[in-house]
Amino acid sequence: MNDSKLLSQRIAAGDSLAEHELFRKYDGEIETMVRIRMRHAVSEQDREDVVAEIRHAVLVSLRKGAFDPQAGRTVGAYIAGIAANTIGQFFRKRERGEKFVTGLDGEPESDSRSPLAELLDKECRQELSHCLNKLKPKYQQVLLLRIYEGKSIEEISHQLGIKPRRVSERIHYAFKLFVKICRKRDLFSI
Amino acid sequence: MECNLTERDQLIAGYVTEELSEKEMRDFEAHYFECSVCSEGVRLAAAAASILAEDGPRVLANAAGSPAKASAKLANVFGRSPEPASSSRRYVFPAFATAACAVVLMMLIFAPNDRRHEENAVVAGNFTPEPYFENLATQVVRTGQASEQFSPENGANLDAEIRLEWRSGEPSSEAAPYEVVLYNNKRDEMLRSTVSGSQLTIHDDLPPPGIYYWALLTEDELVHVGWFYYRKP
Repeated sequence: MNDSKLLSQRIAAGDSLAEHELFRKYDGEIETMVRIRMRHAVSEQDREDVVAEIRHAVLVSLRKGAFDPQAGRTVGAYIAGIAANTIGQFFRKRERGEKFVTGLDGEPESDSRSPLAELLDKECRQELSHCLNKLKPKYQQVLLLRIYEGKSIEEISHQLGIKPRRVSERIHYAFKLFVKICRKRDLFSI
Repeated sequence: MECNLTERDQLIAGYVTEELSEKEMRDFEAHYFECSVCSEGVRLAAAAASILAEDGPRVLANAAGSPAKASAKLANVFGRSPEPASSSRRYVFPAFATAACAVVLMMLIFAPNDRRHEENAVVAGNFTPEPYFENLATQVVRTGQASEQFSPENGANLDAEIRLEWRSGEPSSEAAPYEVVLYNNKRDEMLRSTVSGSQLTIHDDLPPPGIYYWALLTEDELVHVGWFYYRKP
């Protein structure tokens, strides 16, 4: 049995230290997921509330022993599922005009800044901008059109006069290069 | 941790730019929550997307549409105005060039006065390094591409055909065309050819023995400058 599954069993047995260990392992992924899925028209406070609610929901579930280590699903996949449901719940409540209320009741606070938040610090931001500038102009262009201008693949295809499939390939390759450049600069080592 | 996800790059980019379906997103999230390689890739891509979404045009000063930077780079090659080299080789090569000139001069002074030795002296002159190209070859001239390989390696000895090869790692739809230019050590252009593949072989009209420099270019950037010795078999 791997470490995560043991952790889940310790949490079900009431081990609060295991709860801290669990979030030390998965907080970065949760925060990244929330930032990506809740990128548009959501305040930083709302994002923080959702992250807190995900942590709460994960703990309630694991404390009840709802995670079955024998079911063939990883703890990460289990937490990712809870996170996706919580984010979906936030948007459904907002559509109905209801307030998103977190169920926090003294659960462990996050004891460190997430890796993504650290990446977005001013100093690191400059490094990342430098890496983005290492990309060829044609890759920078599709990233700007897609992410900054929010254009669809079809709109970009029409604007550049290339097939939509090539636009997608160019975006994929731009991110791949960017990650490689960052790794080369040891910007974010595993 | 090893990750054997075959479409990792597409998934990361698609996830960050919201091009995946809800099911694809959930499947990928279930994976990257346990995969440090993908998790790192997602975090970096998310950070890039965040920066671009907030401040894209200011961050990317040289995106396409303002190709001034690439043009300037090409002008460097053909306008004969290299940037100063940043590595220690800029001190080594002038010294090497001076030493090589001295050797050639000695050969000219002490060579017996027959035709064969005059020819040898001319051939020896063909091996004198050319400082401008030496500088370019020591600089990292390419910008975006990763995992590139170029052949021959700098300083290689070729003695039959001249085979120039490169591998950019770009998708095939993106990797074309390249322009290959071959120069001798007097900056004379010996060959210029547009190639859609990843290699160029020169069988016929082979140049005289000497040191040669080759430049690999795309429409908007200088990808590589390399050098090799060519000695007839």
